Amino acid sequence: MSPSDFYALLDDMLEFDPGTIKGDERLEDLDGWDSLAVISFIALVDEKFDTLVETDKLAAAESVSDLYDLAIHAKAA
Amino acid sequence: MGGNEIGILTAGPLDAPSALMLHGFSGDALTWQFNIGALARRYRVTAIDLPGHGLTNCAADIGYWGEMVAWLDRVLGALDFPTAHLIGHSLGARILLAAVETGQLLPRSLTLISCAGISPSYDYAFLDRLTRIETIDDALVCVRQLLGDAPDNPERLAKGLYQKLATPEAKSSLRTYLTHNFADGCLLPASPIAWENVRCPLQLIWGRDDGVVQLPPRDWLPASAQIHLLDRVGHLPHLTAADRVNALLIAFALENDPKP
Repeated sequence: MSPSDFYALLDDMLEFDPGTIKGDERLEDLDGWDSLAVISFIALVDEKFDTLVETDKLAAAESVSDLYDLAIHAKAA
Repeated sequence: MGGNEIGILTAGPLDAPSALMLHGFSGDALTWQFNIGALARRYRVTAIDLPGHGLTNCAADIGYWGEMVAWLDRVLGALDFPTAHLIGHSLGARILLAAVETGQLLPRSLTLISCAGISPSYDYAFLDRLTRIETIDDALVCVRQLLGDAPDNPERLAKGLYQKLATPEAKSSLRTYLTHNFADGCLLPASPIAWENVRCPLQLIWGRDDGVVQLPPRDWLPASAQIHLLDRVGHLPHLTAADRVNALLIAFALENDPKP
């Protein structure tokens, strides 16, 4: 999955307009990135990649690009 | 229920075995944010907000903690909740333990994470500080104590704690709880645990650096209990060592699922 496809999924998950997420956003600045979004993100990766993200790494993630790396590596695991 | 809203978070296949998760003092169902996904691959997970916490708005029930045990019984009865694996943190763990002690719940297994009310060593002053958070710096002090030596990002957790607890309503609700459950900093009543009534498989998960509630002496606990003491972890093992905790939760549940 390309980064842009992944960002589109995040837009949808967070109920943003398409194209809102560019990939360079910091999570602490991202409206809607909260505990519920974390659960939704884990479910999203589970659904799209049929695997689990490493939650300790998710807890340490700081940016949207970190989330992409997590999802891609989860797929590879 | 009874005109009150109850916050309930569910995930996982409807036909899977059930797991019930109960959060601790000042938390809510979202405290399980890093655990629900892993469990929901195999279990139907239900996480409930306790009275006066999260989306459960019946603050009148946030009195003596034992009343929450009866409240939980009513909620699970209304949900026609099946036999489940029980997983609780801190206050939530003590409530589930009491429900099992009294025979109110007959679970497949019981996991107590940093369980409140079973140890002679706890920090009442910390609970009091939680109810008096006025600034982000106040929240940061509390978070540092919650994390212990965990290599985590305290600023992010402090921001969340501040947003949740700095409102007058939240502080009032939590202070009500302390008033009903402590006298001069001591937990009321200090009755012994009826471990002999806990006949289900039991596991305890604790952070070695827990600065809020310490693991009781080993001879205070049932000999059959599985005890996992996690290094470099404080009072929030399920948040700060989620992968390790998830592995323990899933392995213990699988071990105690009904055999085909």
